[in-house]
Amino acid sequence: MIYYVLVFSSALIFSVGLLLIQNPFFRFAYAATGQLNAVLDDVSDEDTKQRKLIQKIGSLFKAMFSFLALFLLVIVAALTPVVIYYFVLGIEPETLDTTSIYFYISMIIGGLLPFFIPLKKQKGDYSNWSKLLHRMLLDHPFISKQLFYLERKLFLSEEITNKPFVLVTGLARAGTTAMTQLLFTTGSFHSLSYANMPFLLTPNLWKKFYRPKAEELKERAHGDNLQIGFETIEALEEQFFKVFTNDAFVGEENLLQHEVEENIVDNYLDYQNLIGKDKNSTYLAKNNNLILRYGSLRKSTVEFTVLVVVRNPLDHASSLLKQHKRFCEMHDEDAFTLEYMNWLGHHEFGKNHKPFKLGEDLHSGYKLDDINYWLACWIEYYTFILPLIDDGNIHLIDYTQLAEKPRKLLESISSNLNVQLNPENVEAYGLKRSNSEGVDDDLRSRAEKLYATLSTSFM
Amino acid sequence: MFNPLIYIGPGIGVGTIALVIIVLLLVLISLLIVIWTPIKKFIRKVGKLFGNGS
Repeated sequence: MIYYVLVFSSALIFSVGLLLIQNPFFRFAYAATGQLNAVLDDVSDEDTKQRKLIQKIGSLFKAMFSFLALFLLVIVAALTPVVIYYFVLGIEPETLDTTSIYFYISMIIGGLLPFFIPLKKQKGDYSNWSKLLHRMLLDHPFISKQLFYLERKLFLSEEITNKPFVLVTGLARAGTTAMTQLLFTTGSFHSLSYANMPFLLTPNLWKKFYRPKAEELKERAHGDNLQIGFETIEALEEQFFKVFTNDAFVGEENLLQHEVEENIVDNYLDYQNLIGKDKNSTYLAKNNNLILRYGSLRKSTVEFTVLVVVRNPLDHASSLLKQHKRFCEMHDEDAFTLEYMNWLGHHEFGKNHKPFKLGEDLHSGYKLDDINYWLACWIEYYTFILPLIDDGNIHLIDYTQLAEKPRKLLESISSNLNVQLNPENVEAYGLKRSNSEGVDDDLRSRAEKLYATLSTSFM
Repeated sequence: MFNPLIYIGPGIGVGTIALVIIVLLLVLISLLIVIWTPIKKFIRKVGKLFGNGS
């Protein structure tokens, strides 16, 4: 009987030990991918790369030896009860029972028990292991880039011709998610979804291992009426541009306009084809940072249509302010949410907010908790958009129509773009009016004038 | 308190055991490539030297 209690104790000590050395293992795993990322670096010059490699190898060895030493300690601690039993009672090792059902039951119960007692309540929808997996991939762009090349080699045949695609954009909170999801419901488009996370650049490889079941939808963090799940499409293509431009557009304080080189555009088109492999549909993406690279994308030979959602400026600014406060609280509560938004290039609001640098700077004179700051951002953004609509490939979408008459909007898009869209289960989600007190008169008048001008070009 | 979903996603629908396996595989592949890359470079250098010498 004592022997089985000791076997149970050994297994229990081993499992508890494994749980206790989780963090050292996480550091080791992260350092291993960090080192791989440095090895795969194809941007830095040879001297910088060597310096990074030496720096990273130090961290890797430190993390690896710390983990291995602790793992050894766990094994020693786990063996201690049985070893004491053996030495104290002087029992021959051959006589110890290692085959009976009692031995296995003691070991299994002892070994599994700690995993069923949660020591710490999980914060949010991400376990520590899933956070680690996200960090191992999304913190290391050169790994993602090489995985993309591998994916292309495996899944893309050379004879594919690129089809025109559709991008939905606007200032955050304009209704771009609703617009993208509305188009997606017609069944004429393919796009990235949360099922592609965190292997965003290898959609087909990841699909081989991971196909989440369509599950119940949850209301999204914004507290609006939009529901999301694993199959929900979102603004996820931005990681492609972050990886391939090496974050060139993410400045210290602003998001910057940038040129996208031709080879990156080619890779982008391959990426679209990989996402839509075996589907005879059009690539669709929501990307609020599109405006930063619109010029150079348009210069390329690629054909694409852009839908820019425009919302009443005062409602829009008020909504941005509300979300900014909400996301700041969320980022304080859970630092992982901040990391997540950084990986996907989401700097619209919250602790990592970076406004666009598009031309005239109106926002700098205001604080972020002032509605005028957000109204100034609105004016900057849509002033920049206004001359671009002349090229005929940018179409302005009225947020009010999107919220109240989505079916009619789809019909307009269908006839304007000459594409077949079959709206099914389209429901209006209704308009929410916001409080816009404390607005500067000059900004209000300028925004309203601009909105009136934009309204004349609504689709 | 609200649950972070969009922009933060609904989480990952993979069980812990599958996650552990994926992470271990990634670590193993990373270490193999990290070790193999300098060896490959060395072999290439030696090959070039040998090629030049002959």
